[in-house]
Amino acid sequence: MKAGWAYIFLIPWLAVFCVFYLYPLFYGIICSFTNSSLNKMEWIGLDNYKKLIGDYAFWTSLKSTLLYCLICIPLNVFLPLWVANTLHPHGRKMNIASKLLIYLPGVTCAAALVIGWKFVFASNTGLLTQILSRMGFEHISFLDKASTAIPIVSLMVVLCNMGTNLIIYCAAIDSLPETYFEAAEMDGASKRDQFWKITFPLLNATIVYVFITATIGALQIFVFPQLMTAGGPNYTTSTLLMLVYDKAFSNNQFGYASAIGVVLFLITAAVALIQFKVVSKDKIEY
Amino acid sequence: MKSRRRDVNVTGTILLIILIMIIMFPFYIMLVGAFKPNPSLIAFPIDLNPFKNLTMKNITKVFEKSDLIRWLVNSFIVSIGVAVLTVIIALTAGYSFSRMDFPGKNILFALVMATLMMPKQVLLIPNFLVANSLGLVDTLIGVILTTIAPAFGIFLCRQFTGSLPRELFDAAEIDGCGELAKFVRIAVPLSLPSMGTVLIFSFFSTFNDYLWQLVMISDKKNMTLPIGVTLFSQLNASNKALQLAIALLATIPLAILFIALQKFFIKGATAGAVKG
Repeated sequence: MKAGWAYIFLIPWLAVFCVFYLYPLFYGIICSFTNSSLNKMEWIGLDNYKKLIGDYAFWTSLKSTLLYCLICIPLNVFLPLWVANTLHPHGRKMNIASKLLIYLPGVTCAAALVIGWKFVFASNTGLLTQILSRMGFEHISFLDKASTAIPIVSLMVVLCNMGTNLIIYCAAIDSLPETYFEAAEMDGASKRDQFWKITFPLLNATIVYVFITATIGALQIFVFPQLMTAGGPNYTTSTLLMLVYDKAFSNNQFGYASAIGVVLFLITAAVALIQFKVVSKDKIEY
Repeated sequence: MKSRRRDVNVTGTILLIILIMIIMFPFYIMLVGAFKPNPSLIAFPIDLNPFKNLTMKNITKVFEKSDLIRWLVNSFIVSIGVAVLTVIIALTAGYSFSRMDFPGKNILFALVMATLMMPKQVLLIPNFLVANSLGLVDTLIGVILTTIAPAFGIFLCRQFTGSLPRELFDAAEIDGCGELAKFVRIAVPLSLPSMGTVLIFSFFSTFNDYLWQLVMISDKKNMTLPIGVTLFSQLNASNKALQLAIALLATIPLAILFIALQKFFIKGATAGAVKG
């Protein structure tokens, strides 16, 4: 009787889950073995995956996805931790003001933010380009080559997403028992030692949580590179998700795009699974 | 209570202020650039002096040349729709997971957690094809239905409804309340705070979602704010003042809403991470 009600309460979720998650999941896998476009669908076996192995665009996008991850994940994990630790001894007003200002880009329309950032980094008329050329540097087109575009876009991603993690860290640091720090102070431990020997190990679980969400987020980076560089030149700043979009909606290759999507899904699932295993294995309790 | 750790790190604080200034810089550019005539933004040197040479022309021109109000209304419709449906789904499912026992509960909850770890973007193409075959593409109701991602909300509501005192439900049962009455009369009114958090988070994340709306919407009358702003800035690529004006106008409504609702953000962000 009660179990029946439990399922009734689950119906709304189950409906959404089945129609817009589970079914598309299988449909996507099937699609990746076809040459679908919007109006036709033909089984072609493993051809999409064979094509993938020799596709320059795929490997280039995979490489830049990893580069974005390499820059964004550590910054997303440790920059807000540093900010939270620096903020902690400050008064309430400074704390609230800083949190609000740092969170603001996170609730701002990304398209609007990009307009602001492009003003700084645009190739010919950008503010930074102007300032640098005025100082005598040679003309740099920041967004026209991957070696400068990827760090710049990554920085935008990091600055945009910092708010949530900052608030998480602040709450975690606030919840640490004051007595630990008092004892350390009496023993003559420096602030630096207090951070590395007390705060950092006690925040272990929080850092792991942020690390996991940061990793999954970094694999899905889309809007900033799409609007800043559109993946160019020649896919060197494209992410896998951007390539999926590009193949499907610019080239009408839905089957091939599905195959890339399956690869992205597998990478994300593998990373999530590994992290889940690691977390459940070494749970440090204090 | 905190006095022991009150020694402020001066170098750190200066670096922090510089960081905040960098984060604020695009907002400063929007705020000043929106009121500058375009030539002074492409001239050399660029004029970003907030006290001189200001004009309202860009703002009025944005309203003339774009459907800004319509985009805003569409974004609000979509975001409110998603937020309300997410709350309903999250609370019913969360309640079921926390207060009821049934066969398959652990497997189903593992599926919820799996969708939390695997964002919907990885299913971009099949989701679009499914939406297409259901006739949902390029309709606002279609965007709403396909955007719902309730995993985080379910997680939150499960924790919250699980923490409600058992006695309340037992007492209601003795008074003759059925399962539905217990949910409507006890769980719902007591869960209002976490419902608020779920509502606000899904509202904001839908409002600023770009990729899915880009894929789903092509008709001008269905455009939401992120899509409209992007289109407008592409159409006016050479007019920086106009671009900054629309960026500013697109930022203001959510910035106000955010500041009004700040408490929910500070509570909601920590809900999943820091638990006893």
